Amino acid sequence: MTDAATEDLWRREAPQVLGALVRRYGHFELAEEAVQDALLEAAGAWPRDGVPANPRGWLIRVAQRRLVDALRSEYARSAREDRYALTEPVQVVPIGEHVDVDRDDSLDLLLLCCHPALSDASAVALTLRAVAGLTTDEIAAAFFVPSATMGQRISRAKATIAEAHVDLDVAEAEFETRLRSVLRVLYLVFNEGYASSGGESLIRVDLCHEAVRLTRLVHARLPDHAETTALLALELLHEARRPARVRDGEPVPLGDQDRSLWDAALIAEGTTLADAAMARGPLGPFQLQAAIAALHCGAAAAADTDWLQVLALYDLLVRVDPSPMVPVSRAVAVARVHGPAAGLRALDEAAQSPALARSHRVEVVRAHLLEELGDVTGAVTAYRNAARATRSEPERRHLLARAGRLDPRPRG
Amino acid sequence: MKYLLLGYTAAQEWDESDVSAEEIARVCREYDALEQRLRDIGEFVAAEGLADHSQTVTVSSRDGVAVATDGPFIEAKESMVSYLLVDVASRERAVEIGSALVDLYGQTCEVRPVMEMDVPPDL
Repeated sequence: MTDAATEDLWRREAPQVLGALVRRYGHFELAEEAVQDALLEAAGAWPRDGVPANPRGWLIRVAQRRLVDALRSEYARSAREDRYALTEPVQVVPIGEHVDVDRDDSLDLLLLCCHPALSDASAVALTLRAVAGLTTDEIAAAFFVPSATMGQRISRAKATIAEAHVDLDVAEAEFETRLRSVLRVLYLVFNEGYASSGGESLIRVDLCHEAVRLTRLVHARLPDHAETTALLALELLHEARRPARVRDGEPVPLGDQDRSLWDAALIAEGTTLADAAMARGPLGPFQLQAAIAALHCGAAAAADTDWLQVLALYDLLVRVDPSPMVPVSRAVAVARVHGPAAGLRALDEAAQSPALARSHRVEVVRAHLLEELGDVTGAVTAYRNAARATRSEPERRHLLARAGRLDPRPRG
Repeated sequence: MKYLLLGYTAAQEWDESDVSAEEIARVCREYDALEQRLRDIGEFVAAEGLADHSQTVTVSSRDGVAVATDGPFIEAKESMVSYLLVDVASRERAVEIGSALVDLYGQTCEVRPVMEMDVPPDL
């Protein structure tokens, strides 16, 4: 078996093995170490003896043995050092009782890693570590922080879960809420990768693939869940446009993108999923966003975009998505349907939100609409204000370039 | 989001402070504890204290040639004495850490966002 195939097998099986162990024994941290040990053992044994007929069963057996050893020594140590400790004694279950090998535990593991007790940054890190199977170094590289920093974030997340006495069996009444945080975290992971300008480490782009892979996994478990279907659609429709969104290190607005670079196969799959999701109510934010993305992707040229439909969907989205950015995006649709002046009025209304006080996006949209109106001075000012406020270096370059092209005054 | 927290102090005060004093030792201990908390949470990226401003060499371009001169770029009453780079969830959190530093040192702290290479969502 090739290295890549082994790697793939591990990535697929590791969360299943971890999920099975945590379900049976709890002790997330020790369970994770046991899975790592089992993977190491497999790395030695499989190339030598061949891949076992049931790799998951093999890994679970080995990991279980390691975990039980670890729990025993932990128990002995805590009994020795801390006889009167308030912590519960470690339960050691005999190896004889086997874990159910065929059960798919990855969704349960995702629900655990995206627990509401965790901050977004912690949930993202833990999901990438425990479910996607990335190394701490890889995650640290993707987020541009030292490995030690990321390692701490992950181990704190594990500790939080341990403290919260989180049960792997989520009660049915709570399931929908917990699933929503899973979808939110997966979308955060996707966006982190999607924001990559391509010049940095490849691991950044990999985050999109991981998010799509994990969303597919949830979708396979819950094929009728509308928001899950919609999130998968949304990710695929975004991913389809990736090749066109950055040119020479500069972001390209949707309307200016070279649509021949868009991935037709991803658009076809994404659109089918978006349609399927829309057919199921009640409408949630991902369903509407996916439907909007499908309309953009369905237009052969920017001028062919069905803006009337896009605006109708935004009118629904502002009701179900509290994000202050939604009315800002809606203002763009208003401008396409009713003209830039109407768009600016909608933008001013959107900009009332105190949450947008420091957002440069309002100024970006204002600049574009003023440019369309022919207000060159106003547009130049708005582009430069936006350039000052953005934290994205490629966007800053892009905005200053647009201002420079418009500005009639000689520079220097 | 990364923020660079730049610590400033009155240059004269820095020159004259008695670093052996118990007060300074206490502040250092408290700073170490603060830094450790940031490490534990996974927000710490890097930090250093800087040598006295008189040790600065300023390199600037003169007629297209780099020229090194002893002394700081700007002779200011306030001198930059430390930096702390953190990766946090929000601007509010960065300001909170800056406030903790100011409470500790009684100095001024500039909280400056760090630029990213990220490309924003499509417009």
